[in-house]
Amino acid sequence: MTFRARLTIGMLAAALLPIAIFGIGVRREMAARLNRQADRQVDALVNVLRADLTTEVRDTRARLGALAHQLAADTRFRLAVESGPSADRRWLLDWAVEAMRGTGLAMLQVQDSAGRIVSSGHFRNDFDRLDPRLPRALAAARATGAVVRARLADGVLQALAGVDSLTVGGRRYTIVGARALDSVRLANLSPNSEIGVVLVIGDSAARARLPACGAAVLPRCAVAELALPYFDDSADGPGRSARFLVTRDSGPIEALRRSVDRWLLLALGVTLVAALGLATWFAGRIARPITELADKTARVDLDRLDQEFATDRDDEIGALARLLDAMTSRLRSGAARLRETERRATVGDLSRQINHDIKNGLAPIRHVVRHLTEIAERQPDQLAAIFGERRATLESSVEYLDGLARNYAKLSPALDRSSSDPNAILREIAAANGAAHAVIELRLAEPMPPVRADPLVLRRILENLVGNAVDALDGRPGRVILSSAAADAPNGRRACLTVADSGRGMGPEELDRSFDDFYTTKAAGTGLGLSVVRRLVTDLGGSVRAETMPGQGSTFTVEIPTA
Amino acid sequence: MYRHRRPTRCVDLLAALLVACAKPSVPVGVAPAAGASCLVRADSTAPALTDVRIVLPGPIRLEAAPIFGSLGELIVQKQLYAPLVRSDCNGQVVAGLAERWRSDPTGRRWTFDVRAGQRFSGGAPIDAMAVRDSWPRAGASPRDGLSLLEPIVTGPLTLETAVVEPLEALPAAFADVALAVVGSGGRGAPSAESGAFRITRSARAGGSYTSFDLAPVAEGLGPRLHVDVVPADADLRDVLDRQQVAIARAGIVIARDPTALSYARGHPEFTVVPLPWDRTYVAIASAASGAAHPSPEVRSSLARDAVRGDARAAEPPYWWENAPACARSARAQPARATGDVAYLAGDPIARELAERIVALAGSSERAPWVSAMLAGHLAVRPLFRAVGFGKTALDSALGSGRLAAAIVPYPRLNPVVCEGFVKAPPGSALVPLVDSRAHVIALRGVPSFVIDADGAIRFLTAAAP
Repeated sequence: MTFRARLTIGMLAAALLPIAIFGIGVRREMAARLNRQADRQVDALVNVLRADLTTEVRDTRARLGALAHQLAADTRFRLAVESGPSADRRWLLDWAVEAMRGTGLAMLQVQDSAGRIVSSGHFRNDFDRLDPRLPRALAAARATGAVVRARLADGVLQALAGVDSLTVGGRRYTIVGARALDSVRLANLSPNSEIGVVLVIGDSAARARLPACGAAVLPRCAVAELALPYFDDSADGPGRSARFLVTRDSGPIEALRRSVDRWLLLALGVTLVAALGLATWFAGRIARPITELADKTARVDLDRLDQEFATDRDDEIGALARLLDAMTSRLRSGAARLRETERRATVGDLSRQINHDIKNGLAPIRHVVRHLTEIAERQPDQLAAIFGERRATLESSVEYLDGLARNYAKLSPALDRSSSDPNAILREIAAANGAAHAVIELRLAEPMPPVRADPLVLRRILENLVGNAVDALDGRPGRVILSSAAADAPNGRRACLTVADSGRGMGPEELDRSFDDFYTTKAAGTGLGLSVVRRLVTDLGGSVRAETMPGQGSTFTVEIPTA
Repeated sequence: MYRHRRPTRCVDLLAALLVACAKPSVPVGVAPAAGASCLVRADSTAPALTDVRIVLPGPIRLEAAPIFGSLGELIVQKQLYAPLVRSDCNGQVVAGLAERWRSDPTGRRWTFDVRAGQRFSGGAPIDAMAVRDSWPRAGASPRDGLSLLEPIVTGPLTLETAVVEPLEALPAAFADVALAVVGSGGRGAPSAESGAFRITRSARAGGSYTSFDLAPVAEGLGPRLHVDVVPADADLRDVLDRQQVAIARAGIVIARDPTALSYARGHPEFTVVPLPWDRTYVAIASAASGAAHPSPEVRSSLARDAVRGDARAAEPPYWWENAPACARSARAQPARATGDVAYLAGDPIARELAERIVALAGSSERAPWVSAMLAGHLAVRPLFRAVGFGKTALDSALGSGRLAAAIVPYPRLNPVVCEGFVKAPPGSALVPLVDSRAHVIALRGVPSFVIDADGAIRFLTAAAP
């Protein structure tokens, strides 16, 4: 993994972790507070519901008591129940309707002692029906009241009922009244949409759909309940119980959690994108100089020690760059010394070999000369004879030396003095030595006489000069001008071939040593280029000179005889 | 608190007010009424008023005129559209648009001579062609009821028609408002009037009229009528109070509400006159079996205890027993039974009867006639309920066969045209329960009016002396 990738990952983690921890903490704290608040609301609602039911039962009983008193005192009731079908019977049939409206009850019914309905407010035409079970069931639940399911003409009614009685003419009548328990009323008890009150009868399917709240997250569950007796006047069978279930809907809390989760994820996502961008940019900004240093360092070797690490940064990167620059500088010096040492070692080896070979050739000669000298001093008369005897040795040694000279001469090619066209060679060199930063111009005299030189040698001379001129530009844009001209000299007509550059030029000391063997200012130079040029030009019977100024470029002029 | 009282003192007053031998004014285009006992004069000592405000139970629509669906529509159409002949509450036939009429010896073919010079409200002449065109254009195809053959125009003012079966009710049946002559009206406008009154102003809301101004065919020939339409369940005591305060001179209120009638009877300036028994409430039982008809005692009990309007036990004969096709609708579509006992919404008597049947059906001592009437639904739905329907919805529900029963009002008399009431689907039983009638409450000073045989009141426009 790269340094940049590690840096990016680190920055991402630094940005995301606090937000994630904060979001999760907020979510947990919020859920805990909401649950505590809901628990408090449930407790309060249960208390309110219990008090409300108690008050309702008490209030219903009070109203029924007042109605019973009023009915017992009304002569029309007495006439209606005593006289059979009469005008007062219709009054009695309508009485419960009007009384129910006046008392705010949702159900009102008067029954005779046999349980026959004599007046019904919630179902006016339900008169004469026999239903003695209702008052009995309500009498059994007098203290708490009961939930009844009463028939209406167009449906059923669930109500919280009470019962009272009156006696007229020695006959006992019961009066049953109730207040509606509709869903709207139950909903009004709820402080909010999360907590509700549901009336469930027995173990009905509705009860099964409302399990008790536990650890599991349920959409709606029952958290508390209040039970009352229940009576259904349209059904037979044992009485069941009516349960007021306080339910809690986890939907809003879950929705809030989901909403928080969504926002948290959105915040994390935005942070991730922003942090990724910033981290990438920042890591790139930090890693770029290091990468550049690494690239430059990777390019450094003994043949390429020209890398520049210098920088004006004052931070650690700058310090490292300066260290690398100093190290490279030291490497350059060391490499130059190493090459010098190698050159010197090479020259030394060659010199020693030549010295050895020459000594080998001179040693017999020296012995013969010393022998002849002794003979000449001691036995002059024998000199001729001895010389004759030792002549072969001398000739053999001379031949050895001559062979040795020929062998060493083989290290350099023999000159071919055939003629060649200097302009053509200059053109070829110009074409072959093009460089991106160097503009090579040709200023050739036409016609130009041929020169007396091997084209290969002339080419070697000019290539050396042109190569030096291009190198002298140090990679910066510059010009190299190749020109030719013919001039008459005292020793004959000569061709003047000039290679001028706009490079760094040379100082006097450097110029003095420029034609020395093995002298060079280039990192990869051998120091033999100009010395070879001078030697070859000299071999051609020509001359070479240089004109230079530091920073002003250099001009090398070669004069060689024309053919 | 409502308390039903029988009209004792008011009946006496009414008897005094009915001028048995009074000679009526000569109505325009109408022959003098011979049945003077049908003429009601609220207070002969008070000066006749020229403006009368009438309050009628709604809704009232005139698009289908002269077919009517309510007493309010019938009364309005009585003033606007005239038939060839008229029949008063005694069944006496008098001239209407026709001045003469005759039949052949078989009693089947009838010829009417239309009085010359009569015109619709738009100016078109009322002639034999107009009468012939009126009946089908108004949708008053009489073939199902009176079984009329296509009328033939035999002269400019002579029209000949025939009935399939000769009836004793002829020619009084030709007085039915359903056979009134109507002219062509504009788009959305009521048909051109042919009767004694013309509409001079009207207001509508939701397709129903809320008020009319009716003027006699000529200025000064009769009272100007201002008709206010109120909902069927409106408290008419408010209307009576308002009339006393705002319009102290006169007023007519048509009411079935016993509370309003009781209130009116308690005030001497009101005259309460019962109209003829005009409705029979029947239970259309979709799956009845056996003896579904309650006994007269049970019907009386229903009329006395279950219904709070003026009702009596339904009394035979029932016209649908002799003309069953008129009371039947098209083929019923079988559907899942709901056990609902339906009633016509807005009709308190129908609702009360439906609720009583629901109560009886839920009783442990269920009457045999109730069990028989609901036989096909008892096993399906032991708990019945009363549900109100509009007329169109009730027609549809009955046709679907999903109702256990429907309580609807039928015309008390055999309708000439079998339209305007809910019909029973094939296979269902028609169980008559109670008869009902409305009352007219007239304030002092109201001009004389006639009570027709069909239960409508009709104002007379006096001819110029």
